[in-house]
Amino acid sequence: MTIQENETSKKILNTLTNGTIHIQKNTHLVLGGVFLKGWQTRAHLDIFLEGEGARFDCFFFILGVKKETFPFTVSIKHIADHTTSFVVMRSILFNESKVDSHGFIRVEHDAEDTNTSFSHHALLASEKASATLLPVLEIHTNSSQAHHSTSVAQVDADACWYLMSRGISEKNANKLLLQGFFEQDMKKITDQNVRHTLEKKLQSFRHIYA
Amino acid sequence: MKSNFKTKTKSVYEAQKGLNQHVIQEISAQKNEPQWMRDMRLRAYQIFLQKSLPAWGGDLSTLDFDSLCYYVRPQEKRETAWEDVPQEIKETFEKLGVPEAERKFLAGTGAQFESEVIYHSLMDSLQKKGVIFMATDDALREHPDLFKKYFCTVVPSQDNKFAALNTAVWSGGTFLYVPKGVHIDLPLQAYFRINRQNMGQFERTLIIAEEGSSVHYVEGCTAPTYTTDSLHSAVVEIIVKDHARVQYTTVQNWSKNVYNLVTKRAVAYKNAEMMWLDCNLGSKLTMKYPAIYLRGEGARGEIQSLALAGNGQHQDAGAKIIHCAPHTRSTIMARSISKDGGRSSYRGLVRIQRGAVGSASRVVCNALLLDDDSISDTYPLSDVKEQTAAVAHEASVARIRDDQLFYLTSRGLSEDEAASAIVNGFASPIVKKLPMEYALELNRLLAMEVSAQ
Repeated sequence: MTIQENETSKKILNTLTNGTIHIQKNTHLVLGGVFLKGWQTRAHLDIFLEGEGARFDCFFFILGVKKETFPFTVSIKHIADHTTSFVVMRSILFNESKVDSHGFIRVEHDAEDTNTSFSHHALLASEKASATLLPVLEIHTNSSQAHHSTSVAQVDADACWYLMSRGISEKNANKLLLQGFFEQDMKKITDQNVRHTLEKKLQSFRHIYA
Repeated sequence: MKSNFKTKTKSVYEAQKGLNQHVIQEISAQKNEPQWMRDMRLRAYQIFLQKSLPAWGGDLSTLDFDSLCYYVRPQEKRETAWEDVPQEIKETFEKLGVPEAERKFLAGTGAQFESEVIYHSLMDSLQKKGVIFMATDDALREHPDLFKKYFCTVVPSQDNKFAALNTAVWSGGTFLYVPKGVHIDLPLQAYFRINRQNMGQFERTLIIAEEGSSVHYVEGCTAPTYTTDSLHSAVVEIIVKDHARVQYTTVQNWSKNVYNLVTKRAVAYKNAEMMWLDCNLGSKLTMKYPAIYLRGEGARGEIQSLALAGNGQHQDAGAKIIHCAPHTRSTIMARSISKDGGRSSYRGLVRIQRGAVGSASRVVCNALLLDDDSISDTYPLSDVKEQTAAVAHEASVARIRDDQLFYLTSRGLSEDEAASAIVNGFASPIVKKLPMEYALELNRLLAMEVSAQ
């Protein structure tokens, strides 16, 4: 798939399959996804920021309820100058669900003045859930700003205790914190349509996780 | 550079070039080893032949195992008095400041030249407390039970190709045993020197810190520059028993024709603390990922590393922490500087096994790219199978910003001085953990490297 010049393209995914996307000059792709149904074999999404000023924004929310697995690799190559990639992922994992995410970002030598940020935060909501996160940076120029972060944890016990001390039951405190975990990154979605669509989707699944 | 000089020496024995069963048997015979060790070496050699080179990491395609000399004995016997060391070898270490350092601030010193430890000493007071600090070969002879109990238990031959190679041809290294409750206040130091060209140095270090003891061990490595490549492939095994603490500090400054392919691993038991402080400045290619297995409840692990990759260098360094027990804690801080087309890679693993309740780990990697030809990579893997654990990782890659330079130059610093100050500031969280003499030397070296740019 190729996003043509000077276009802004938006896509909302329900699952992740193999795909290659070439983003041309001054083009902006916003990719959102709420994933509930897992998959077995690793899905590879390859993004090539080929044109000057190309931008890729990615917002994935993963909800593992039973025994789903979510193995995938998002690979982003910054080939042209002034390209930007901004990836935000959050996972809540119940029961025996598992996320296995690789984020591979490469900034080529000639891609001047690029900016890349990748984050994936996972919350383990049961004993047998697990998360494997591998964010990779390969930076071949010093004119790039690159950053990534990952975390894996359970619901913050201090935050839960704080809410309980304000008269909220433990069950409701947990619900609020799980809900808040996804919502923390919603404000980072600058595209109102994508944000609204993802919010609606997450709301429709809220009975599962909150 | 202070360490880039060659010494003309006449070896007592040199094995033929290349590696085969005969060379291994000859090394073992030269050392007059027991049969079990000879058999272990030969088994490890078979594993070495079977295992392939790692498909990841640095470029090993030009590493020629057949061109290396696997064993060189520089002198007849090991000395414990500095005066007895042969003149030319003594001069080598004196130029490097080793005996001076011992007099000033060390509890004990070892010096390895080519394949053999040529000098070893330990403070009398520590000997009386039962501390054993000697060449690993001597420990095999003098403390066979202790040696056999721990040797190859932390890094088995099957672990990787280079661990197998080391087990097959190991020679020298340090054996350090700290008895229960003994605290060694001053650092112990070992200095490793490759002098000959096409040399393979395969020291084996084994450290056992008994319950409630503590020790800080420092190693330094240098070699002169040749046009052909040498290989340094060490194995370090550390056992940190309940409530003990071990700090292992490395200042690696091999010349730029040395492959530095090292396996370092520690096991920490209940409430024990293990710290690797790893500074990689030299070598052509370093592939080294110090590891800690946190096996006892409440054990703590810390890995701090600094890498400097210049022209023709690839520092593929990292850290591995495996949380196997409840309430274990770990911290990894890695900083790297790449310049003149050099490449720095951080390759790390934090694994929290199921059952390691309440464990936590934090990883921070920062890379500084000083020019447009250099490369920085980060490969941090977090694998969490315990719900109650908390793991956080963050990494950033940046350059010296114009506003930083502008601020410092507006205060009267030249651009070189400003860049040097920024690099020193970037490295300081790691450097300040070094003993003061090393920290000063490292700061000088960083300043020199940056201004040379």
